[in-house]
Amino acid sequence: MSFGYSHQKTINTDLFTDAYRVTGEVKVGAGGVQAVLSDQNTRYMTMSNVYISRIHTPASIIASYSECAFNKDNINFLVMQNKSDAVATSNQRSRSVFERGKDYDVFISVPSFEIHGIIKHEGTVQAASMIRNSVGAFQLVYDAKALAALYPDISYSGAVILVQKSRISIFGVNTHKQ
Amino acid sequence: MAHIFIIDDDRQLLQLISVMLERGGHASTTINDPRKALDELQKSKPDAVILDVMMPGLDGHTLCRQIRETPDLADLPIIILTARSQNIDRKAALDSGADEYMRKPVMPKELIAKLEELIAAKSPAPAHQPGVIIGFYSLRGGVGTTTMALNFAAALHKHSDKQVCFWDMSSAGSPAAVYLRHSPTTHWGQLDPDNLTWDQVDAQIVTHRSGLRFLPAPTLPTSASRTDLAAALTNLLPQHTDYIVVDLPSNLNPDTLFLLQNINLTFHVLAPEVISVHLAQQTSKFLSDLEDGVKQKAYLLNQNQIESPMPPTAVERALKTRIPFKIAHDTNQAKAISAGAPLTLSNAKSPLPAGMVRMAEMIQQRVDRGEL
Repeated sequence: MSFGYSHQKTINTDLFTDAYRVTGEVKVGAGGVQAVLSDQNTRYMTMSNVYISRIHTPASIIASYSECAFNKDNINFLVMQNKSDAVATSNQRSRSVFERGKDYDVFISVPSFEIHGIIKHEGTVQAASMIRNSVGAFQLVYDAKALAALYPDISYSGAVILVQKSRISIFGVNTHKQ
Repeated sequence: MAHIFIIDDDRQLLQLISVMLERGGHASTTINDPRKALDELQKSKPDAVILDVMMPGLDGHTLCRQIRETPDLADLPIIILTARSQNIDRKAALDSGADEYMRKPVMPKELIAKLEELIAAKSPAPAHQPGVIIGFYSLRGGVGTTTMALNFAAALHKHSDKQVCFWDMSSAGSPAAVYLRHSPTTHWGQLDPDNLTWDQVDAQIVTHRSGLRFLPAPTLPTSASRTDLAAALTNLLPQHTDYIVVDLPSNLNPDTLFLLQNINLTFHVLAPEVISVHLAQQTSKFLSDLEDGVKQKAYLLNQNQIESPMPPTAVERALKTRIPFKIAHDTNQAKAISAGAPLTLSNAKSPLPAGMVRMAEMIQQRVDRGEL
């Protein structure tokens, strides 16, 4: 749910660390949560109205706080229901950098989770360069689904999943165009 | 208008949903602190609850379980409305006892439609009003009692959304079955009045091709009195059928007497001829002298001949009463008998069906007003 202000809005997101699912609200600008994560001025991202669950019991809330800070380096991924909450999207005057390129099917593993979805990429079709050349510290995976590796019944879907690049251990791509 | 409780820690959202519900024609109470919700719910007993999941102090799933465990609130319609939008969250909401799960943000129309659907589904079904038994009776044979009874049942069946059953109580070999061109293999003669159940009765009822339900009489004439069975059927049929139209035997045996005294309304059918009128006078006197009498009765004049020996006004003078229902002669009636269907179902514009439909409408109005 987002409450609009002229320059900032509050969005809901599911954030995942190694062992926890955290649901809460983040204030974002036109660049979406990607811009907050890429903000070099702070190592932390602040979330309000935060509800925490363990990964293996994701519907059960074990703690709640009015505010939490997250070390951005230790976030594994975030699940967003709306693309516009995640990144700057195209408008009538310009096409977003995040929406350029061809679609490629990917498989990504991060601690505790595997993520399936589509990434957009321009240029050389090579797994390593695809990660290296994408904008920011988080890889955008569209129409994505994250499955708990040890609990495959537990899954999370979103219009976009933002995956911490430094946390990726496996990156598999079908190099043909979708 | 329903009264809805909205339980959410977000005051802005409470206000927003409250306005949505008001615009949808419902009243709402907002609760910001989930820990107070259970007490408030028990005090107010609303029609439904919209419940958030992520609330400090008490999460929505736990509160939902508490509501379900509270006897007074166990059936309360609950919608969980949450920003947690994964399938696992839907499952958790339903597992906690919620009736429905919706994701934030929600469209007002969608929320209100879902609420109304749940409230309607959980409302107790209105108690079935006992059905009304309407009998057709004449001591004089050949005046068209069965014709009147069958066409009246057909008119009720065709022009109301109520369940109608025609009950042939004749002891003279099921004339109604002949009229309907039906060879009954089941009939009320096969029923045992001791411990009689609806399933047993229902198994004897047949459905005519017109859709009219029909409890046939035994195919062979019988002299045995079945008052105990008449009593059991008079008790059972109204519990499952809105209108029971019974064609009574044309004699005053104990079964007939029992029914005359226990059914809601009796139509005394007569033809405009001297013997029929005389017998109607005598029957009326006899019934008036009975200790319990009949509940309600009305004369029904069936003008079954092209040229009536007596005009209706003469019949009324002889009976010293106004006849509320007069059915005009209908030349199509003979064709209806050979066609095996009541005229009311086969030729609605004919004079007899027109009279029957008016009569059925009047009786329905009386039933609706609670006069029968």
